[in-house]
Amino acid sequence: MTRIRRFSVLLPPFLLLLSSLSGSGRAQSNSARYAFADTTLLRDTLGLSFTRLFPLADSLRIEPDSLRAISIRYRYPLARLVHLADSLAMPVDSVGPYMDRERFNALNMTGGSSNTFRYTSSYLIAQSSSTWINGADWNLTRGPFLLHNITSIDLDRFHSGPYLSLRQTRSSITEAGWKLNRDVSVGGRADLEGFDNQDPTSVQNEAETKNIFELTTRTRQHPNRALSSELNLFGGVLDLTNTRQIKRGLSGRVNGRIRTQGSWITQETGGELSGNLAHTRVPGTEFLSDTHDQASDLHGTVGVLPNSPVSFNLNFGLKNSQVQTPGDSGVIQLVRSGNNTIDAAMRLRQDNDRYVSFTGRLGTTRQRQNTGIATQLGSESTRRDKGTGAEGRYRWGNWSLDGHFTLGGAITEFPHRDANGGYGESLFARSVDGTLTRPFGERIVFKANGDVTLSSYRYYPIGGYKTLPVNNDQYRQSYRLETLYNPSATFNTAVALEVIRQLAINIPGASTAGNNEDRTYRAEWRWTYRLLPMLTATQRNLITSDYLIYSTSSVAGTSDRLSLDYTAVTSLNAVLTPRLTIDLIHNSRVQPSGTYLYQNDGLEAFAKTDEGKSYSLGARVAYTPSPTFSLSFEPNYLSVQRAGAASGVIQPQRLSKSLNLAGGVSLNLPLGRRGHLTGDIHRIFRDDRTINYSNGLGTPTPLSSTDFWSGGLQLSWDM
Amino acid sequence: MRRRLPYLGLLLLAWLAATGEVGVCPLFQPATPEQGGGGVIIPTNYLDPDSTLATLARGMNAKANGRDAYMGGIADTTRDGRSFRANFDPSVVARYNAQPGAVGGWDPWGTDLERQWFFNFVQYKSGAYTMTWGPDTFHPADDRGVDVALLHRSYKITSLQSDGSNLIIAVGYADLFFLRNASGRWVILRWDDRADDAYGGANPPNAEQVPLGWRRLTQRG
Repeated sequence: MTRIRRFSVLLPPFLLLLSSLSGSGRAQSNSARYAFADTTLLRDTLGLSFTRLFPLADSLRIEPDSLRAISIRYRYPLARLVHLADSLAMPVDSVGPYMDRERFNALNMTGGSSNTFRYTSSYLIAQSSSTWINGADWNLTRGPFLLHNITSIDLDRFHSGPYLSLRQTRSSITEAGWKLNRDVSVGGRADLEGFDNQDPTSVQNEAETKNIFELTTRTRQHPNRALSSELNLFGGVLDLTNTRQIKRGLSGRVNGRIRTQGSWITQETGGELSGNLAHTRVPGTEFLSDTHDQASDLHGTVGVLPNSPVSFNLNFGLKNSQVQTPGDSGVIQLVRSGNNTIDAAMRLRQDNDRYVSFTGRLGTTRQRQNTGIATQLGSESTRRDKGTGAEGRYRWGNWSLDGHFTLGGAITEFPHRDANGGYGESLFARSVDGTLTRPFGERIVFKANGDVTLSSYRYYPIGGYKTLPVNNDQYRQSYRLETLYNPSATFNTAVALEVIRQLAINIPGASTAGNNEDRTYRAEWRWTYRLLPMLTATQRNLITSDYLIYSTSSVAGTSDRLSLDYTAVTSLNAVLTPRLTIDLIHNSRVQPSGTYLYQNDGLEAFAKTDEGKSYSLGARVAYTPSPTFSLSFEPNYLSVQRAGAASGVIQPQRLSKSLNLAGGVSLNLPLGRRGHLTGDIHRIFRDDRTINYSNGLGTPTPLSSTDFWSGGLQLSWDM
Repeated sequence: MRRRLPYLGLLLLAWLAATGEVGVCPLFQPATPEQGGGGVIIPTNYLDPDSTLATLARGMNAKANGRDAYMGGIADTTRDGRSFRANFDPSVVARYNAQPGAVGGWDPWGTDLERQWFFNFVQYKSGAYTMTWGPDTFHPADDRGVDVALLHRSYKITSLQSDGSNLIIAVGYADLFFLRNASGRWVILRWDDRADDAYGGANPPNAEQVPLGWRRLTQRG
C-alpha cells in the first residue's frame, strides 16, 4: 500500500498539467498523430479494405494490427465488424467467437427452409511437413427445426530423416434444435473429438477420444426493452479415453447471461456452471474410482454514463475449477485452479483529443495439485496482483500530448519447491511514457517520445527453502526525437535520434559483479522520392552505438563493450503496368564491436575484436493478369561475413553465401457459382555454402542445395 | 509560440520530477546495490544468432547465475518490442494433457513463463549442467536474413552425476526464429520445439531424455 501511495506524488503535476493546457483548442486536422503510422497495414488483403484503420483502431483503443488481424480472420470488413460490435454491445475482438458460437442456436432461426452445405479442403505444404484439412459445415432448417454440423479432420505428416510421424485430429459438433416458440428451444448435441499420433520411435503413441452427448434446452427472456437474458441447460454423458485414463459418466452444465441497457447504465453478466460425475480408471487396470469435476465461471461488465463526459466501466471475472484424475497407483489426484480479476476505469472526456482515464486492477490466480499420497509433494502456486494507472491525451492548439502511467504489483508464491518449502516473489513495476506531436505548417511534423520503466523483483523464503533467486532491479529509460519533412507529394524525409539507458542491478553484494549499464544511441535518416510516376525510391539509414559498461571495475576492465551498427536499406518500387510490378531491395549492414583496453596511463582505448558484415539483394516480380490469378518470381542473394580478433589481428572466421529462387502462383479463383479456390503455392530453390576460416585458411563446406514446395491452397464448395 | 513556452517548461518539469531527475521522487530510482562485487560473470554476446545461442548455453551452464544471460537472448516486449513464444511438439502436448494433474495456463508460452521456468529447471539436478547446440541433420540449411533468421538446431543438456557420468536431462530439436532488435541484438522470437525420435520422441524409454518442451510444461512452477 505504501508503494501505491507514491502515485500521489505524480498526481498533482499531472492534473496541474492537464488543467493548464487550456489553450484555444481551435479546430484542426488531427492527421499529425498518424503521420508516423505503419502504412503497410493498409495494403489490401483477401479483398478486404482497411481504409481508416488507424483512426478506427485509435477510437476503439485497440492496436491497428490487431484490428486488421481480426478483420482478416473472420473475413469481416471493418465497417461490418464495428457495426456488429455496436449492435451486440461487445468488444470487437469478441464478435467473431460470438458469431461462431451462435450458429448452433436454434433461437436465432428466422423461419423458412434452407439447406446449405459447405465443404472446405486445405492442403498446406512446407519443407518437411504437410497438412491436409478437410471440413464440412452443414446447416439444415425446416420451419422450427435446425440441424447444424461442423466437422473437421486434420491430417499431418512430419518427415524427420528416415522417420515419418503421422497425426490426426478429428472434431465433429452436431446440434439439432426444435424451436418451441420465440424464446425456447430443445434439442440434442453430440461433440466428438479425437487425436492420434503415430511416432515410429515412441514407446507409446498418444491417442485420445472424447465424446459428449447432451440434451439441450435454450431459453431467452426479455421482460422489457431494457432487460434481456438467456438461460441454457445441457446434460448428458461423457466418454473420455486416453493413454492415462478412461473416464465415463454423466456431465452437465448450465450457462446464461443477463443484460440491461438503460440510458445511463449498461451491464452484462454471464456465467456457467459445469461438472461431471464419472467412473475413472487407468487403462489396463480394473480398479474404478469415482471422480467429480466441476468448474464455474462468472464474468461481467458494467458501464455507467458511457457517452457522457464522465464515464465509468467495471469488468470482473471469477473462474474456478476442480479436476480429479487417477495416478498410476489408482490414487485420485486433485487439481484446483482459480483466476479472479476485477478492473475498473473512470474516463473524463471532452472529445477524442482531450481525455484522461484512471484505471485500477485486482487479481488472484492460484493452482494447487494434490498427489493424493502423503509422502509425495504436490505443487501449488498463487499470484496476487494489483495495479493502477492513468492515461490521457490532450490537444492544445497544434500540440498533441499522449501519456500513460502505470503502477503494478504482484506477489507470487511457490510454497512447495522442495521438501523444505519454497519461495515468494514480490514484483513492483512502474512505467511512464509520453508522446508530444506538433505539425509546423503543412510540411513539417515534430514528435518527441519518452518512457521510463522500473521493475523491482524481491524474493523471500517460505519455510526452510535456501536457493532463492537474487533480488534485482531492471531499469529502462529512453527518449526519441523525430522530425518528418514533407515538402511535396513526391518527396518526404525524416530524421530521428533515440537514446536508451538500461540498468541491470543485482542487490546482494555477492551477486553484483554482473551489474551493468547499457547505453544505446541511434540516429536515423530516411527518405522517399517518387522519381517517375511509376517509380518510387526509398532509403533508410541507421547508425547505432551501444555501450555496455559494468559497474565493478575488475569486471569492467575485461568486459566493457562497444558495439556499432551501420545499416542502409534501399528499395525501388516500380509499377511498370497496372499488372506488372517490380520491387528491388538492397540491404547492407556492418557491425564492428570490441572491448576497451585500459592503458597504464589510465586512459582507455577501444579495440575492435569482431566484425560482422551482411549484404542482401532481393527482387520481387509480380504479374497479375487478372484479379484472380498472379504469378511471382523472387530471387534473393545474401552474403554474411564474420571476422574476429586473433592475436590482436582481425581475421575472417566465417563467410556464408546463399541464393534463393522462389517462383509461384497466387490464386483467388471462383469455381463456378459455388466454389472458390484461394491460396498460393511456390517452388523454392536454395543453394548455400559456408567457408569456415582457421588461422586465415578457409575450409569450404559442401554446397547445400535444396528445393521444396511451400504454401497452401484452400478449396471451398457450397451446395 | 512564446505564450506556450511556460507550459512546455511545466511539462518538462513534470517529466523530470516523475522520473526522479529533479526532486526527491524515488518512484523511478532503482535500488542501490550492496558493496561487494561478488558473483559470476557470464560473457554475453548477442551480435549474431550463433553468438546468442552460445550465450544461452553459457547462461544455462551457469545455472542460477546465468538467468540474465539466458534471458538476454529471449525476446522481451519491453526491450525488443516483441514477446517470446515457445511452441510445443503436439505429441508432447498430447502426452502432457493425458497426465494426471495436467494444468493449463501455459498457452501462449511467453517471456515471463520462460524466465520462471529457467529458475526451476536449473534446480532440477544439483550437478553442473552442460548445454550444447548441434546441427539439425534433417534441416541442415539455415535461413538467414538481414534482420530475421531461422536456425535449425539440435540441443542436449546434461547434468554431472556424483559418479562422474553425465545424465541427459533434455534432448531434442528446435526451429529458432531470430529477430534483430533495434539495438542490433539478435533474440529468439519463437522456439518451435521438436522431440528427437532417436531418443524415443515425446515418450522416450529413458524418462529423463525428454525434449525441453516437456521440461517447460512440467517444471514451470
